[in-house]
Amino acid sequence: MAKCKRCSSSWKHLFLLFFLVSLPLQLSAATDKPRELVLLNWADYMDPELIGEFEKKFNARVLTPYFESDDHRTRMLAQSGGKNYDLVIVDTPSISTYAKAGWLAKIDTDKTPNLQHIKAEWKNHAYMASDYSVPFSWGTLGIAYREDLVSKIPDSWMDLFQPDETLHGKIAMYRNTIDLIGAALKALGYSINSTDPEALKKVKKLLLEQQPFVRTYDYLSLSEDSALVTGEVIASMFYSSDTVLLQEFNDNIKYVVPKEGSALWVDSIVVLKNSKNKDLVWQFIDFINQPEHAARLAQFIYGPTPNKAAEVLLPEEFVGNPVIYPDATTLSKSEFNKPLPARIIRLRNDIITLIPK
Amino acid sequence: MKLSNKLLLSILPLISISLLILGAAAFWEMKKVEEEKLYADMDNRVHTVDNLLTSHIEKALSDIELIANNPILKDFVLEKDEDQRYMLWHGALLNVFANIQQTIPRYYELRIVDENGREMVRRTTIDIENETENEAGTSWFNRIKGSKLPMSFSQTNPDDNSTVIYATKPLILRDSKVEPIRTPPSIRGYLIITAEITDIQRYINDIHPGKNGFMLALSDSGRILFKPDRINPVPHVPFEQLFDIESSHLNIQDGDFIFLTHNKNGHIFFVSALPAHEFFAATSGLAIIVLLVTLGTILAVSIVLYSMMRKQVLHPIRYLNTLSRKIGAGNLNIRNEYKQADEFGDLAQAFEDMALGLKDSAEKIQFMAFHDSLTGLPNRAQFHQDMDQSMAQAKRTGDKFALLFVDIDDFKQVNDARGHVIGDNLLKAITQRVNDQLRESDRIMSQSTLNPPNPDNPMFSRIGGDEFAILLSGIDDPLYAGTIAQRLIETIAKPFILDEHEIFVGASIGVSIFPEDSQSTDDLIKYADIAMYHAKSLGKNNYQFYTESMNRKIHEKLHIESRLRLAMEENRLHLMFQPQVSTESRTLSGLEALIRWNDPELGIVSPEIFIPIAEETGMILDIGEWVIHEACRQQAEWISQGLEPVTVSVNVSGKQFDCQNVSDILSSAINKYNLLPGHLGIEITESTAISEPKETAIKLKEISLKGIKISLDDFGTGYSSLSHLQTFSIDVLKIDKSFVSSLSQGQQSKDLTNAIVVIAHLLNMSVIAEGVETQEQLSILHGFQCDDIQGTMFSTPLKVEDIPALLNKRTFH
Repeated sequence: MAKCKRCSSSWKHLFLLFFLVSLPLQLSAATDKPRELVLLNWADYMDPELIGEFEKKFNARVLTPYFESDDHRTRMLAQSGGKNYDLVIVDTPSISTYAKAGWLAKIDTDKTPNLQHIKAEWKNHAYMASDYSVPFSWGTLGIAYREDLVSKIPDSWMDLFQPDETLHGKIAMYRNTIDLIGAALKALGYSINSTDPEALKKVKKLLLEQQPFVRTYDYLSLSEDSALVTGEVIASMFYSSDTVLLQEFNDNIKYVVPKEGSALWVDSIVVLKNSKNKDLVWQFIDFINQPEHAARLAQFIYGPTPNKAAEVLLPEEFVGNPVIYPDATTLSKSEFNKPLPARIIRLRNDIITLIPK
Repeated sequence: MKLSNKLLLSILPLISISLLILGAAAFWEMKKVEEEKLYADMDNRVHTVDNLLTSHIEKALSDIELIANNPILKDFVLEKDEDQRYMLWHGALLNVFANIQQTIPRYYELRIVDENGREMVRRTTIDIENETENEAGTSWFNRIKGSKLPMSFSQTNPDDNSTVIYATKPLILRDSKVEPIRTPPSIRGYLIITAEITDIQRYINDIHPGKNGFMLALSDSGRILFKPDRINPVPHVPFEQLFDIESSHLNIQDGDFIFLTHNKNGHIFFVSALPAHEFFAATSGLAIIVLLVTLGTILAVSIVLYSMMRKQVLHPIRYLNTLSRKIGAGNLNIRNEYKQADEFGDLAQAFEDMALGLKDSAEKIQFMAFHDSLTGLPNRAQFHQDMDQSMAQAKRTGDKFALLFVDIDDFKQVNDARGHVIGDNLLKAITQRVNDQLRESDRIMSQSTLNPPNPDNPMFSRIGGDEFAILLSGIDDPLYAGTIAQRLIETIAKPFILDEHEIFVGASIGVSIFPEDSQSTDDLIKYADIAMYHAKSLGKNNYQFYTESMNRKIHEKLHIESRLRLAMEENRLHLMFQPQVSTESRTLSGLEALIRWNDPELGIVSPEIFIPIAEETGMILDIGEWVIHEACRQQAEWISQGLEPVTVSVNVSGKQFDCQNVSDILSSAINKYNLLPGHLGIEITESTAISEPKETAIKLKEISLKGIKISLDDFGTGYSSLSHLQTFSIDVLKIDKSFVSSLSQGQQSKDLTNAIVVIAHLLNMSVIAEGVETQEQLSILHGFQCDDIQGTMFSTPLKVEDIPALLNKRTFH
């Protein structure tokens, strides 16, 4: 799902630039040099220690350029025609889009024995997902809020979309065609995958009316000076795993999945067809799906693992954390995002373009 | 009838007729210019708005090329799979459009329709509902459909009914990924920019030609697109008439208008209209102005002509009349102020010449009445007048003057023995010598005092057969009159060679002084006469003051002068040294050399008495040089005794600066005794510095460059300003003791002293205070940060033999 991980700072941009510029040189380097693997990912969404161990074991170098939004990632891939990268972390609807664009390679299960630990329901959670992707983590979309600063727990999407005066200017939304519109649809009682143009008209009205009360449409930073930590923002549309991260800085940050229900997101790894190091790619996917490694990774990113052998290795308090592992009632009210018809996507894009940057 | 009126009446009609003709010609010319100006104003305004629209269109047509080249736009259009198009490209393309619209808000709608007119993407900056997603049947789409060229046209936007500009560009592309290279690119859709042109409406609202003119914008079918809000209802414009080249008139709503049309932009017709009555009002106003100016000119020309007649003809006649009356009344001091080069001018000049001739003869008569015909000197009558004048002036200025009566001894005998001719010649020769002597004395006097030379000084008259009177005005010291008298006696006593005879005569002189002796002219003359007879009774060939004490004083002065000369020869002058002490550290900072004279006959003589005499006689030059050498010799002696030296400063008189090369004297003394320049300093008085400022500044600069320290003595007694002194290379300012003694008397003198110190420091001079006697003065000066102190508070001037101990000890407490 769409997430802006521990936020960008300009040196990372510089690194990315450096990486892209120096790439042709590295590809033509001699074979006794470490093999290279390029993983396009959200910032800080992969345990660096684990990567270190992988690099050592396989005489490899893993480069991790990062993107800032789903649109950003699509633009990066489109510009290079799906070349220059080996592995990409993607949201669910992108799997079939990228596969249809001809950018993706099928997952070679023969070379990745550890994929046997992945639970069946995650393997096949979306159209084309089982052939082209490996689930990485999952979670919920909800509302993070400051328990000490709100007058009432914002347990409904409407608490954000039609905020009372105490929340005016103190809420944050995330400008995003899938989840912002999905949340608004849920608030109005529709499915997040609704294809009813009338429903989207209502969504547009709801969003435009909400606009004066929203402090920012940028995803809040995940560092110590995040607006939610400082109290500049006291309620925000937020992802479950990011909430756990911010809770380290402030105990008063709480998380709720609204009573209308919400979206379930799955982040998956896909392999690019033009990757020149397929062997290393399979070795990497297999490596991070070793149960012990998958358990470490889950704890690093504060997300549940789809790996059932890893799950048993996780500590009690991790598995018992309701933010990370939502209860059955919450799950039952929530939906996965599905691919949508073009006219609906167009309507959604047209709505988002009205939201100011 | 007067002469001037006759002349005027004959010229005036000629001038009036020509001016009226000129006025009429000017009117037609100005009318043309005025109409062209109005026309240009109308043209300008409509031209501006037409240009504005043209630039919008050209900008949109160039921008659309750039936008159409965007790679995301191409990917979007070429994507066959509709789902993929909207999943992958639509969001990014909207982002591109949003960025463009943020930069150019005028493009409020950006669209792409496919080759059949179906809308593929649309972004508007304002949330207006799309009338239809299918543009296939609309008139504008029919216009662009199939065209391979970019187009622009004005359009009523069906979505919101406003007049806008459309810029369109066909997107002619080939999908290089799936289509063979030989496939020709084909039209995949059209990019459409909708640009609002509300600034045209604003311009038409705000700007109007003339006062009541207005502008309209019409479509090519004659429909009014823009009009000023104030024109209501929408006027009917006969569209065909706009293009009628013959007519410049247009009938709008029953009004007659002058108009202009512009259509550079190619889409919208701009019309500039001005009511005909306003157009012609300007020229009818002009007619009145030209008429008024013409009549005014005729009036002005008449007045000028009349006054010129008066000035050129009547005024000179009247002037000559006055002139002749003045001469008749005996006023010969006339000046001809009528200098014209005409007959009147010649006549007036002849009048003046005549008066001047008369005046010359009158002056000759006058001179003969008041002057002695033999010597040319003023006679007794003139002398009395001069006396009265000098008296009045002296009373006003507070100056002194002396009256000298000179009687030639034994003139009668010469006259009797040699004849009147010799006697007369003798008187002329005496006059000559006295005049020379007086001029010489006057020169010396003006040098040695600060008074400017007085051209009337002295006044020399012959008041009797062998009697002369001399008036010495502006003298400081009455004794000076004695000096002059003595010189006159000496010069007259020299033999005269007349007709090959050697003739000896003498002179007896009596002197009276104003105001000491009397304040009345008669008394002064009487007293001078008495003194003269007294001199004669004392054996002739001498002079006497009327007052006895004066005679005694002049005697004393002469005595001192001769003793001083002797003292110089016998080396009886000596130096004493007064310490200068640093205010802060209380240590010795310098010594001032002071001259002392102990005469065996006169006892100790104060420098205040003998220095002025030395200056008057010129002895100061030798004394000054001796002081410099003696101070250097003494300094060298102390150094040779192993003592640590301090700067020894000597006083240098203004007379030395005038007559000697002080710089050379200082250098030679320093060299002779192997001293460093810093061992010697000089002190000059303020009056020395400012008597010949430029030359002194150059001389002081030369000395300063050698490294010899220069102090300004007695500062505050003269009139110079501190900033003026800046030009004089002065290192040290010595505040006069009169300032120091007044320190305890009031705040004003403290403030003044403080200010002197502050400013002197600003000018990079150090300050030393003289005559410091009390602890109170010392602490006040210390508070002012005065650098050094000299005075009895620390030490009186010391004898030479006391100095070595001081140089060893160096401190004062």
